Amino acid sequence: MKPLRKQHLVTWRVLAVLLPAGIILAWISVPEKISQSLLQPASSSPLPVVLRKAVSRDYSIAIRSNLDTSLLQLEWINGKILQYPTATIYADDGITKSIGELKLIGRIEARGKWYFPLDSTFKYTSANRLILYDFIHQQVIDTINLLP
Amino acid sequence: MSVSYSAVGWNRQKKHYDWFIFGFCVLYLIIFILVTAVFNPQYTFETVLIRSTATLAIVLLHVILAIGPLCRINKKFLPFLYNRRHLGVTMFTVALIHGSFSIFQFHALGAVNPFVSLFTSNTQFNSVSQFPFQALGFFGLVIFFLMAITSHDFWLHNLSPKVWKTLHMFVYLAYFLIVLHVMLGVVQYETNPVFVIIMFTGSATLISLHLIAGTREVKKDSQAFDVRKDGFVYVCEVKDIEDSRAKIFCAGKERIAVYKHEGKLFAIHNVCKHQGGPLGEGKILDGCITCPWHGYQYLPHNGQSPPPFKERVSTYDVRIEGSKVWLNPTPYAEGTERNGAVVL
Repeated sequence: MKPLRKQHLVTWRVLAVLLPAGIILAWISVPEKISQSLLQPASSSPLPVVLRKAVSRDYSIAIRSNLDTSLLQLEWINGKILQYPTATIYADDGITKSIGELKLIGRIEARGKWYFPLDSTFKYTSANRLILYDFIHQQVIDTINLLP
Repeated sequence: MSVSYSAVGWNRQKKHYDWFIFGFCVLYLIIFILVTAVFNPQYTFETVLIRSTATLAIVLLHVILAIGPLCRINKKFLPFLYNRRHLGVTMFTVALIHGSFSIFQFHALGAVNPFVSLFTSNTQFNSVSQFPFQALGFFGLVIFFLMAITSHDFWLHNLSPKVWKTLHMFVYLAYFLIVLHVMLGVVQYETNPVFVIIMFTGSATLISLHLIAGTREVKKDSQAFDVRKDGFVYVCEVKDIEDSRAKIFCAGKERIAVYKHEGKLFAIHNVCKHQGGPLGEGKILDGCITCPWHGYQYLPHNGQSPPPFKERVSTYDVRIEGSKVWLNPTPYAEGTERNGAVVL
């Protein structure tokens, strides 16, 4: 039992290095995104002004703002149930090639209405295109062009 | 201890323990589902089930891994250790529900075999943020499966406690895989930091507990004793040992428990034959040294389990000179009768 006790201690000394290293490495590798509060209500009310929008058979999407455009919001309404249980939305700036480098807006489920806060850069950059991405199978589900 | 074979040696404590685990799991799942229904009513039942079982399994895993060091630090936690294996099997069952539903929801609805899809749909092993995190969870689950099926005393006896314990140390590898499964999975796609905070706090707590307990134990093992010519070492004063209790000394290769019982001191090997529990941290019940982990019993004067049980541990010579207790760390054969030292 004496060697086993030592083995336990050595194992945890190794884990004391590996676990924080793994957590920190994973954390700093998280794609750039906008922070949100925990348990954001799915039915949070939409902002009044529609700046851009896109409508398809499967979903209706809009970039909304308040009257002075100090607050921006992405509205995503699933019309049909998505074929994908969960998917992420990225803002495509038209320059970046890799999905991992794009700005992550949020994650949606197969059905429902979703509202995500956007930062002010969406007013000035060409955030006219969104990418819906299946992060489990690593494939683009759809590319959506937003029109004024 | 059981004379005849039974799959699980149920007793009152085990039933209470298991009902408590069951009640906690059910309550957790109900609360999770209700909170989700209020705040995110659009989630499908499968999604809620996957998430609720994932978080429950992680909570249980942290509790399981904290019980060992907590018991080393404070004996009050020993009741949690008693039936820890049932807690482990519960955690595996919950994790299996999470894994099964995840594979079904994300991989079983296409033309490709779900297990092939699990390992081939994402092969970006060179990326951190896009790493195939599901494979990590799968391998963690495989380790939990192996641990769950070998958790019964049948395997403990057939593999020997040492091999069994070494095998079950793979839980640490599984824990590492699960932490990375969360960090490289959901954390990469969530827009709030709550998962990072939970995982970091959980890991930091476990690391601290294990390092504190482990360092204390190894320090006890490396305590130096001066050996006299007759082979005896001074270990403590007679008054330092409470009635029906023991003090533990690592004077030789292994730890020795010196018990005070009915006006005598007896010394036996500290390691229980069942799961390697610390006999010196137990007490004497019904005239028998009783292991604090699972209640295995040994007679103080010969280290034998009372008939019809056959477990035996080594005994040692102990001597009292004045008020000082002297111990000879050379073991006698397991089950050898010793007279003990009379306390005057």
